[in-house]
Amino acid sequence: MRVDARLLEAALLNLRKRIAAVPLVFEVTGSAEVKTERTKLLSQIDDYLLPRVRRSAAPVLVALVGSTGAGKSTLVNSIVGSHVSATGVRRPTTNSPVLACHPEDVDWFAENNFLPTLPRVRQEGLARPGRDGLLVLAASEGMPRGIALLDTPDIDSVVQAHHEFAYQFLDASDLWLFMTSASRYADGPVWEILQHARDRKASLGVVLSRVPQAYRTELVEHFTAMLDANGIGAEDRFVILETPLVDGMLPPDAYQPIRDWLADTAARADRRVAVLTQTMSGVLDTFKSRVPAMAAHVEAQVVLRGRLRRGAEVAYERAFAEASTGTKNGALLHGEVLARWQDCMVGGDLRPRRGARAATAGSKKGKRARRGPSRPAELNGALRSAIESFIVSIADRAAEHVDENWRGSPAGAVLLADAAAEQARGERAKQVFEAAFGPSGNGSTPGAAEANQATAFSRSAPDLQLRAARAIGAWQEHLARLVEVEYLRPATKRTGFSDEALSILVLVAMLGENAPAPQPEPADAEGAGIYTEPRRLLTSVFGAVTLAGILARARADLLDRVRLLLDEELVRFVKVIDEAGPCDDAAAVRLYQAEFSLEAVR
Amino acid sequence: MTANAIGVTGLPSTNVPARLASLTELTRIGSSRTGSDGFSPELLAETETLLRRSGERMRRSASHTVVALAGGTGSGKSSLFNALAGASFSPAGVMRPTTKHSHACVWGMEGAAPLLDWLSVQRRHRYARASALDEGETSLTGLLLLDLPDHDSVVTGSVAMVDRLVKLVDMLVWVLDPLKYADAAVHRRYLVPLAGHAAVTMVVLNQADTLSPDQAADCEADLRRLLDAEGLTETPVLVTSALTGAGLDELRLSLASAVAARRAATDRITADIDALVDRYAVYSGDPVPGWQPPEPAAVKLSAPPAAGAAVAAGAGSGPASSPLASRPPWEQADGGGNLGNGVAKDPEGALAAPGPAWQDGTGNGQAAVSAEWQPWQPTAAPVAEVSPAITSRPPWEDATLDGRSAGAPVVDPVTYVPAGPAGTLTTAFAKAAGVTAVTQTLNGVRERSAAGYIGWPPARLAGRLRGQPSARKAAAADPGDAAQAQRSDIDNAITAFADEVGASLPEPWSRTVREAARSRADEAQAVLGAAVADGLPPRGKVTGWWRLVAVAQWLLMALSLAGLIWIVVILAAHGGHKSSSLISDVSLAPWLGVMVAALLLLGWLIATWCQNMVVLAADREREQAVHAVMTRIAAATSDLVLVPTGRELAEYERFRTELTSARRGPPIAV
Repeated sequence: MRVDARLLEAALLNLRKRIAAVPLVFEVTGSAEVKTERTKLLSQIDDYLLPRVRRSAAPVLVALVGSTGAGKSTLVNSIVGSHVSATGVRRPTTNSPVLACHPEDVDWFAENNFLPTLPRVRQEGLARPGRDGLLVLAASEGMPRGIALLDTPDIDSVVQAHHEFAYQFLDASDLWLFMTSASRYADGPVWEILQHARDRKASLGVVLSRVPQAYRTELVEHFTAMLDANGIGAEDRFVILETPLVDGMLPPDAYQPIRDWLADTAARADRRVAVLTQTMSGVLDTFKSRVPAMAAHVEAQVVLRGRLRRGAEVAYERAFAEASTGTKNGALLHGEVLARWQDCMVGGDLRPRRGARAATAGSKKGKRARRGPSRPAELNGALRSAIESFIVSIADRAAEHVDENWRGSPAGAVLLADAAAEQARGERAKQVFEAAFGPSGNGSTPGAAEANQATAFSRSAPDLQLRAARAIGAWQEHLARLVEVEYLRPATKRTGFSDEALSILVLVAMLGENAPAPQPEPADAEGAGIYTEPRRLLTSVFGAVTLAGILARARADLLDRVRLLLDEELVRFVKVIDEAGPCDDAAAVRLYQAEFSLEAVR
Repeated sequence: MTANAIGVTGLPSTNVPARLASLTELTRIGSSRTGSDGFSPELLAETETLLRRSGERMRRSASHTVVALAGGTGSGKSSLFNALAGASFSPAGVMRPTTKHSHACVWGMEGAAPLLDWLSVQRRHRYARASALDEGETSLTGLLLLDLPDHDSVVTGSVAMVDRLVKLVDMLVWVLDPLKYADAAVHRRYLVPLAGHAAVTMVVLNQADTLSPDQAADCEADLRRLLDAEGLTETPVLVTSALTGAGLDELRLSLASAVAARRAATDRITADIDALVDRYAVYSGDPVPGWQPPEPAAVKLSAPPAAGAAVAAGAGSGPASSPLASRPPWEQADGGGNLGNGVAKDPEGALAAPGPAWQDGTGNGQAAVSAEWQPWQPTAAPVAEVSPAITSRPPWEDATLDGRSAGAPVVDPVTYVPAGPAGTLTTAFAKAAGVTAVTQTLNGVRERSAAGYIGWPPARLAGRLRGQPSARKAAAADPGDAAQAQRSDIDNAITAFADEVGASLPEPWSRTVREAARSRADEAQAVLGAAVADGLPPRGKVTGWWRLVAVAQWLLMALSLAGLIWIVVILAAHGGHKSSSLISDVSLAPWLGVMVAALLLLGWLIATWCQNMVVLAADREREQAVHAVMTRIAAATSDLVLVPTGRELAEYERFRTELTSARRGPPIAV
C-alpha cells in the first residue's frame, strides 16, 4: 500500500486537532470512558502514528509485555547479553520501562518524537532500580541493528500505573511480543491484552515461558487451542522451558529463536514493511469505529446541554405564567391586604371626598393619624409586600424546580456541585484578599451579594427580595403617573378621589380582574367587596373603556418588570452551563469530516 | 438460664443480633427515602442481602466453621486442600484452570448437610473425615474446608461462584504463590474491599519450595508490606508448601484455633456489618440544630418497630409479653420462649443453638426462635404455620406510620423541631394571615361603631354633611372575615423554615424535611384564615353602656335644644304680654345661653371621655384577640408544619441512634 506520508500526516494532524478540541463538558453516561478514550486516541497519534509517519526509517520498536513473573526482564537480559533490566523474586519486579537497542539506534529514541510525554534517561552501567515513570534507554552492542526491545512493566500486578504504562507502550510500538508463563496463561488479564492485540490487528508474537519439560506437549497444545479459540492468529509462537538460570540468563538455545526472529524482522525489508504496515493500518482501522463513537458522544453532550438549558427555561417560563395569572385572579387579595382593604372601606378612605381632592390626602386627622401611617398607606404597603413575596415565592419555586431537574441527571448534579464549589472558592479567595488588603472600597457591596449566592441554587438569589422591592416601587410610581395622566384628561369626571386612592384602586382592581365569581356579597349597595368595588368606583371615574386600557397597561408594565427579575434569576443557571465550558455544536461534524479525510488519504 | 443449659459452650458474647436489628431499622428508614440524592438502592439491597444471609447462616450449624481456600489459578489451592484433608479429593494439575467446582471437606459431619446445601456444594464434591477416629485431628472437628475455583481465569462461571462463596463463608484463606502474590486480580477485587474482614482472613504464601529460603523471606516481607499498605495489618501470613509439607502444621494449628473459638461466623458477620454500616454514615450528620434529646423519651425511641411483631409472637406463646415491652424484640421473643420450653435467655445462645433446639421443639419453641429471627428474616420458613400474619409482612409494615411500634408510647414529634425556627415560622404565618392588620382594623371598627352611640351628635352631623358614611352603617356593611391567608407568604415562610431546620442535615434528609414541612401547605391558606376568623370577637358587638351614653347624649342634646328654643321664645316674646315670667324675663336668656353652652360642652366632654374609654377597651380587646388568634395560629402551625417536620426529624434522630447502635451495638447487659 503506497501512502503519501505528508498527506497522511496532515490528515492525522487535522484529526488530532479535532479530537483535542472535542468538548467533554458534561458528565453523561460513559463520559469518563470517552475521556480516557480521547487520551488514548491522542497518545496513539502522538506516540505512535505521527512519529512513525514522519520517520519511517526509524528502528522497529518491539514491546515486550506480559504477566508479572513470566520472565520478561530475564529474556531481555539474555537477548542483550547483559543485565540491562533488573530481575528478582519481588513482584512486580520492573518498575520503570527499559528500552534496549543498538548504540547506533539510540538517538532515534533519545529525541522526543517517540513517546513525547515520557521523560527518559540513558542508562550507564548496569541495571539499577529506576524511578517509576522514567524510560531507561539502554544501548548495547548485543542488540541487533534496526530493532529496539522495550521491557515494560507487568499487566496484572497491584500497581495500577503499570497497566496504564503497558497499554501506552503497546500503543506506541510496531510489534508486540507477548509473554506469559505456564502457571498463568489462563489468567483473565492475559486474555484481555491478547484480545486487545487482536482488535488492534497489531503484529504479535507470543511466548509461553516456564513450561515444565514433562508437561510441554499438553500445555502447549492447550495454550495453542486457547489462542485459536480466541481468534488470535499470532503465527509467531515461542516456548521457553523451565530451566535453571545461568548467572541470571537463559541458556542460549532457549532465547535464540526469539533473537533470530527479531533480527530477521529488522533486517529483511519485506518483513519489516509488513510488520509496520500491519500494525499501523490496524490502528487506523480502529479509528473507523472509535472516532464516530466519540462523535456520537459529543452529539449526546450537545443534546444534554440543550436539555439542561431547556429545563431551566421551562421552569422560569412556568414561573412567569404563574406570575401573570397570579396577578390577575385575585390570589393576592387575601390576608393582610383584605384586612387593610376592609379597614379602608369601612373608614371610607378610598371614597371621593367633597372638597378639594388635593386637601384630602393630608387632612386625615384623628387618632389613626397620630398612631401611624394612614389607612391607605397601610393598604398600599400590604399590597406591595404581597406582590414582593409573591415574586420571591415563584422565583424560589422555579429555582427549586431547576435544581431538582438538574440533579435528576448526573451531569446536572456535577454542574451544580462544581458551580457551588467554584463560588465557595471565590468567596474564600475574596476573604483572603480582604484580610490582606482590607475591604475593597465601594466594590465590596456587590461582591458580598455575589458571595452570598454561593449558598444554594435551589433558592432564588438572596438579593431578589431587594430587587423585587425596587422593581415594585418603580412600577407603583409609574402607575401613579399613569393614573394622574388619565385623570387629567377632559373626559374624566372630577369626583374628588385622591391620587393615592386612585392608584390603590387601580392596583386592587388589576389584581382582582379575573377573580373567580365573588362570594355572595352583602345585599348592601355599598358592599365593600374587594373584587367588585374598585372596578365600580373606577368605572364611575374613568369609564369602562379607559379603565380597561389603564389596567392592561399597568399589568403589561408589571409583567415586564417581573420578566426582567425572572430572567436575571435564569441567567444564574445559564451561566453555570456556560462556565462549564464551550460546547461546540459543530464539533461532532468536524470529527466525522476529519476521520473521513483520513480514510481518503490512506 | 445460660447458654450452657442447651449444651452450647465457649460462645463469645456478641451483639450481632442487636446490630442486625438496628441494620433492619436503617433499611426501613432508608427504603422510603431513596431518590437521586437519597439512600443508594444498591446499599439498601446489599444490606437486605446481608440481613438475609446472616439469618440463613445463623440458622444453620453454629458448631461448624466454614473456611474457604481461595486464590488465583495455579497457586496450589487444590494441592493445599488435599494436603490438609490428607487425601486426593480435589484434582490438581498443570492445565489451567484446574478446579471448576467447589469441593468441601468436613471434619465432623453431623449438622453440616444444611450448611453444605446452603453453600450449594454438589453432593459428589463433599467429603467427610471421620474425625473422632483420626489421630491428631480431633482439634479440627467442626471445620468445613472449601476449595474454591480460581477467580482470575478466563472461565467466567467460576468468578461468579467465587464471588458468591466469598460472601458466604466464615473465614477466608487466600492462597498465593511467589509468582502472583502481587496480582491485581486478588488484591483489587477481594483483599482491599475485604480489608475490614482482617480478623477472618488469612494469607498463605504457597509453593515456598520454588524459592530459596532467602528469597522466600524476601517474598514474605514484600507480601507483608503490600498487605499492610492495604490495611490488612491484622491478617497473618503463613509460608507453606503443599509439595514438601512445610508450614502445613502451622496452618492446621491456625485453623484448629479458629474452629475451637467458634466465633468465625459471628466475626464474619460483624465484619460485614462494619463494612456496610460505614457506608450509611454519609446519610447521617450532626443532630438537628438546637434540639436536645429528651432523656426519658430516647429509651422508648430506640425500640425498633418490630417490637409489635415480637409482642404478637410473645403473646402467642405466653402471657409475659407485656411487662417486656421496653425490651428489644429478640429479648421479648426469648422471654416468650422461656415460658414455652426454655430456650436460652441471651440471644447468642439461641442463635448458636444447634438444630434440635427448635427442630424438635414444641410449637412455642418454634414461635420463639423464628420470632427472634423475625427482624432480619421476614421469610423465615418455620414461622409460616405458627403465625402467618407475622411472616407475610415485613417487620416495618407492622409499625405505625410514624415509625413507632403500635404499642410504644408516642413522643410528640413537635419536640424534635427546634424552638427558634418554629417561633419564626409562627410569626411568619401570623403575618401571612394578616393578624396585625386584622386586629388593628378591629380597633378601628370598635371605635367607629362606638362613635355611632357615644359620639357628640353635632360632630357626627358635621361628618355626615361632609359625606362620610354613617358609622353604624359602615360597621354593618363590614363583612368582617379575612377569609384566607396569603399563599406566597406561607410558601416563603415554610421554605425559610425548612432551610433553617434542614439545611445542616445531610443529603436526603434536608430534602425529606423540606417535603415534610410542605406536605400540608395546600391546606394552610384556609386553615390559617379560619384560625383568624375563630380568634376574633364578633364585629358588630355593641356594649351596653354605649346605649346609656347614647341616651344621655341625646338627652343632653334635647335639653340644649330645649334651652335654645326657650331663648328663642323669650326673645320672641319680649315685649309682648307678660303671660309668664318664664318666657318674658329677658334677664333669663343669658343664663339659658350659658346653660345650653354648658350642656353642649358636657356632651362633648362625655363624648371625648367615652371615646377614650372605648379606645382603652378596644385596646384591651385587641390584645385579647391577638392572643386568641395567635394561640390558634400556633396550633395550626404545629398541626400543618411542625408535626410532619417533627416526624421526619424524629426519623432522622432515630436513624442516627440506630446507626450508632448498628456501629457498636448497644451495651450488653451482663
